[in-house]
Amino acid sequence: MRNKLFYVVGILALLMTPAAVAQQGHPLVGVWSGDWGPSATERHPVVVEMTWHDTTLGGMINPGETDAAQIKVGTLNSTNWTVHLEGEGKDEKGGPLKTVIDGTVENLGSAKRVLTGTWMRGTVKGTFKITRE
Amino acid sequence: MRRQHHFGAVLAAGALFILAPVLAQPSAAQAARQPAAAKDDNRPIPRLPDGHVSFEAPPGEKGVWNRQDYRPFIPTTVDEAALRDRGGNNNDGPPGLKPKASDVPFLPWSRSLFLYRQTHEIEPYGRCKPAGGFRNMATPYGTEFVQVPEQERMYIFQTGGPHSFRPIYMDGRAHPKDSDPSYYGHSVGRYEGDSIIVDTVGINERGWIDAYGTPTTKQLHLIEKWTRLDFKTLRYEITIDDPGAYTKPFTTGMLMTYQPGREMFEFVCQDGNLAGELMIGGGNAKIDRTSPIVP
Repeated sequence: MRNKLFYVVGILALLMTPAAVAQQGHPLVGVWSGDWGPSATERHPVVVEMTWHDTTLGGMINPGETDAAQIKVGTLNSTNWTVHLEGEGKDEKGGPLKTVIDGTVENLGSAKRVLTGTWMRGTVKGTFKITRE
Repeated sequence: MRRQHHFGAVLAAGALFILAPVLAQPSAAQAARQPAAAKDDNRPIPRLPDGHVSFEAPPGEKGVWNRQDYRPFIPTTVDEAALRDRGGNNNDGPPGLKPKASDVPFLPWSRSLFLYRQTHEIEPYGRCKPAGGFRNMATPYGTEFVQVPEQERMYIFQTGGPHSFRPIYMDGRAHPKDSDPSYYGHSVGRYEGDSIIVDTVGINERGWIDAYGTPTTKQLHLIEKWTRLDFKTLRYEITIDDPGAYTKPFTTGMLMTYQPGREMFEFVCQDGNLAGELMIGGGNAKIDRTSPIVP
C-alpha cells in the first residue's frame, strides 16, 4: 500500500514539475530517483535530494516520507566519481534508522546521470540505482 | 523531356560551380567601401557625448567585436587541453592575461569536472542556452555593445549562440536580495577611466561561463572589466569568485578585435541540435542522447 502511494505521489509530482534541466554546477546537486532492494525481486522506490552549500555535501533521503533521513555525512571522491552518504532518520516504528549509500556516478556529462552501488538500510544490505531527474 | 530537364540541371550546376569563386568575391563597390573603414584603425578611442569611453561602432558606421583566443586557462598538460585544441593552439595572448591551468585554485571536484569536460564538450551554449561571463563575450560572428546613457544602462548583444542580449545597469543600483537565478545573472556596472567594471551575481547552474567548461556553482560572483586599449583592441578580464568551486578568486581574460563594416545578422540557433560531431566534438559517443529534453 505504501509503495503504491509512493508511486502515485511520484507520478503526480513528475506530471506537475517542469521538464528536467541539466545541472552544470556540482554534479551531485539535484533530485535523484530510482530504487533499492536486497534482491532483484524486492525493490523499494527511493528519492535522494543532494545539496552543495559552501563546500558541504548534504541533503535528504526520501524527503517527505516517514523514513526520511537527513544526510549527515556526504563525500565525493572525484578522482573516480564515487560517493559516500550517511543518513540518519527514523524507521516506521520511530526507532533510529541509519542509511549508508556507496555509489559511483555514471554518464557524468548527461543531464540524466546515474548513481549505482550499495545501499544499507539499518542492517539490511542491498543494491540501488538512482537517476538524476 | 525528363532527360532534357536533367541535362539542364547538370548544366546549371556546372555553371554555378565555375562561377562560384567569382560570385563569392565582393563587388567593386563593396571593396571600395570596406577598406575605407579599415584604414582608420588608428583613430582615437570613440567617446559618448558624456565623455565616457564608447565600445559601440562610431555614429554612422557599423562594426562588431570578435574574440581572439578564448581559452580561459593555458594548459600545462595534455589532459588540461580541450580535444579541439590538441592539434595545436599556442595563442596564449599577452603575458599575465590567462593563468596556467595548473595555477587555477580548483576544488578537487571542479578540477575533475573541468578535465572531464575537455574530452566531453557538451556545452549548453552549443544547444542554444544563454551563457554569461566569458562566454557572453566569446560568441561566434561578433559581439555588439549598445550603451544607452539616457537610460543609464548598456546591453551586450551576441550574434551567435542563443542570439540573445544581456542588460547591465549603470545607474548605481544594488543587486536584488532575492532574485531568481538566471543564465546571465544580474549585472551592475560603472565607468572607470577607459574601462567598464561590471559586477554580476545570480547566475544559475544550467550553463557554462566559457566554452571550456570551467565549473561554477550558484555561489558564483563575477567581476568583469572591459578596457578599450585603442580603436581596434579591447581587453576583457574576468575575476571568478566562487567558493563552491574554487579555494580563492582568480582572474583570466582575452583580447578582442574590432571588425568595422560588419553588423549583427539574423541567426537562428536550432534547439535540439544533435549534430554531435559538429557541435561538441567526437568524445561523446557514450553519452545518452535519447532524452527528448535537451540538457
